[in-house]
Amino acid sequence: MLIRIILSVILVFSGTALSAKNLINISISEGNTGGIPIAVVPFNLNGNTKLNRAEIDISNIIRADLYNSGQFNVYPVKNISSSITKSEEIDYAYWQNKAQIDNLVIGNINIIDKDRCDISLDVIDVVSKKQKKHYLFENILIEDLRYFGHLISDLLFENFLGVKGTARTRIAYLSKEKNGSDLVHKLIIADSDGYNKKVAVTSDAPLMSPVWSPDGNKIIFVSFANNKSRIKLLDLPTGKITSITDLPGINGAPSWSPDGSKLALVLSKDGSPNIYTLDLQSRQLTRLTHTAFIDTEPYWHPNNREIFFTSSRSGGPQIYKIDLNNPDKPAKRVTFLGRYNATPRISPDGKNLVMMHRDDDGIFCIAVKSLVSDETKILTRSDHDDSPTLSPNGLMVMFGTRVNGRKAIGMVSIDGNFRNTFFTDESFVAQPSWSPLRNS
Amino acid sequence: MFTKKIIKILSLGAVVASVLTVSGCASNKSGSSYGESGHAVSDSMRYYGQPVSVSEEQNLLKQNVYYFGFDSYQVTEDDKLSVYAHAKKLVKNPQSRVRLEGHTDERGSAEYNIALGERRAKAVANLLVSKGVSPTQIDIVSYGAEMPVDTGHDENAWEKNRRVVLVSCS
Repeated sequence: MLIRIILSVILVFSGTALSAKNLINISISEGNTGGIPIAVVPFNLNGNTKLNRAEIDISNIIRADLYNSGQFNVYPVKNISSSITKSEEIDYAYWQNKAQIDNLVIGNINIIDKDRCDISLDVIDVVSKKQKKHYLFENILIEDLRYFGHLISDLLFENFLGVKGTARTRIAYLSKEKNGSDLVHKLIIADSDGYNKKVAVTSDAPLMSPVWSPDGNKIIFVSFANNKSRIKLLDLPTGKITSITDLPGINGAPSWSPDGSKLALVLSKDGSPNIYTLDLQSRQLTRLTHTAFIDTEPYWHPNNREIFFTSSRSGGPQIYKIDLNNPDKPAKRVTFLGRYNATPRISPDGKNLVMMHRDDDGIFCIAVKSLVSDETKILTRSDHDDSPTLSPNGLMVMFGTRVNGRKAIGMVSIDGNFRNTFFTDESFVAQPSWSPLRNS
Repeated sequence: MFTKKIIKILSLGAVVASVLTVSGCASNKSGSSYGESGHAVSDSMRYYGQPVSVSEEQNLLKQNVYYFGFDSYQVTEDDKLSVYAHAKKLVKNPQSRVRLEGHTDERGSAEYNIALGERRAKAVANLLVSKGVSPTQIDIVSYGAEMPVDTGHDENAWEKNRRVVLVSCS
């Protein structure tokens, strides 16, 4: 079956080509050997160009994206001797028996001129020896090749798994860097593989808790400028920052409602930290918890009816949920394992609660509790894991981690089969937030 | 301690520099008078029925950081003496203000630590108010685990970070 996709739209991406500053070193921990076996062969380059192979061969990006999705067992490129131009050249016996992969991706990049190229690729079922899919992208800007690598990764992911891939998503995270004797705090946005890093906010005072809006156009965060906490909103298209709440006491832990019309947040203006919702249009505040305990970290369930949060009302932090349709009913406790459970995050399908958990050794890790079976599973182990954020397809968890004393960003699949750690240029990174799927 | 807080906001497309400077809290000014011999008790204060000399009072006022045990927001008995010295000064100078900054060690959830830091700052605030300071003279901010003085990952570092800092404002 031939699928021809013609895209000659001008895409507004300010990242440059593939080898744009390598901002992230991926330290590979545990790949998913139980994943779908696939090999992405180095692409053929046809035509004249001054650029070298590394800058154009998007098979590198596709291999990395499929690997990082945690769902594929990606054949190592060092084992592949050369690219394959035509299906006729495929040594099926090798791929089936020696390499033991089921699916082969071969591709061509045809240079048109110094700015443009075509991409064509085939997905081949090694067992039936049939071409399963053909993709053609014509008249692409070479500077957009990185995006097309991710686009192809997403198409392959959806093709094999029936679920949207996240190669074209972004992350926001916080960094702290020394500037002489001072600290500079930054809110950074990057592609979910760490490339195309941009600084969105810089501050001399701490920043906290960045969260993407459901439409992907805004980020809400906490600022400590002028010795006071405030919740602020960054509008990404304009770069404008507006103040959302500036009340006495704590203004913190903001979270978006599924439709983006409301926020849940924490205010201590009435004595102790409590959960409120704020209608962004009317700016009306509604108080949800009324205890003298610590109630914090609200997170909206995708059913739009329940808000999960962290509360100290049973002694130490545990996760509770409140029913917005019955707000006078006492909140219901959700976690019972261990003496510290916090930072609740609910998967998009509503079935999994991901959280920060302190295990019996006193180590903080990321755990997942099935809201269907009530089983809890610990997913990670390092010096100190925190700030979980879910991928928009619910299959992957990104979190703050510390390895050998250095703060980094960790990733683990929700079934625990795949782990990875990202180190960035910054020596201190924290509190990642995963964007929704891109609209484009 | 002078602190200038500058916020630079960089937009994605254009650079918009908006610089806000706020003059922070001035440093403590010592102001009590004492007799010629240096250990006069003419200006003494009384805690728990015991007279305290003026120089002791100065020392108590010099202390402005109070430390806490793990998971605790109890002010120690020793620290209370210093807090009460500050209270007396604030009562004497109703125009002056303090800012209490609450902190925790790095362990646990960042936002939960904001709440814990506030508990610690409020514990100190309650002591000031109990000695007659008006709540309008007190600002409270919790930084949780976000501003450690020691970035180590052991009890040595943690105990230095569990603190409330009393910052005097003019």
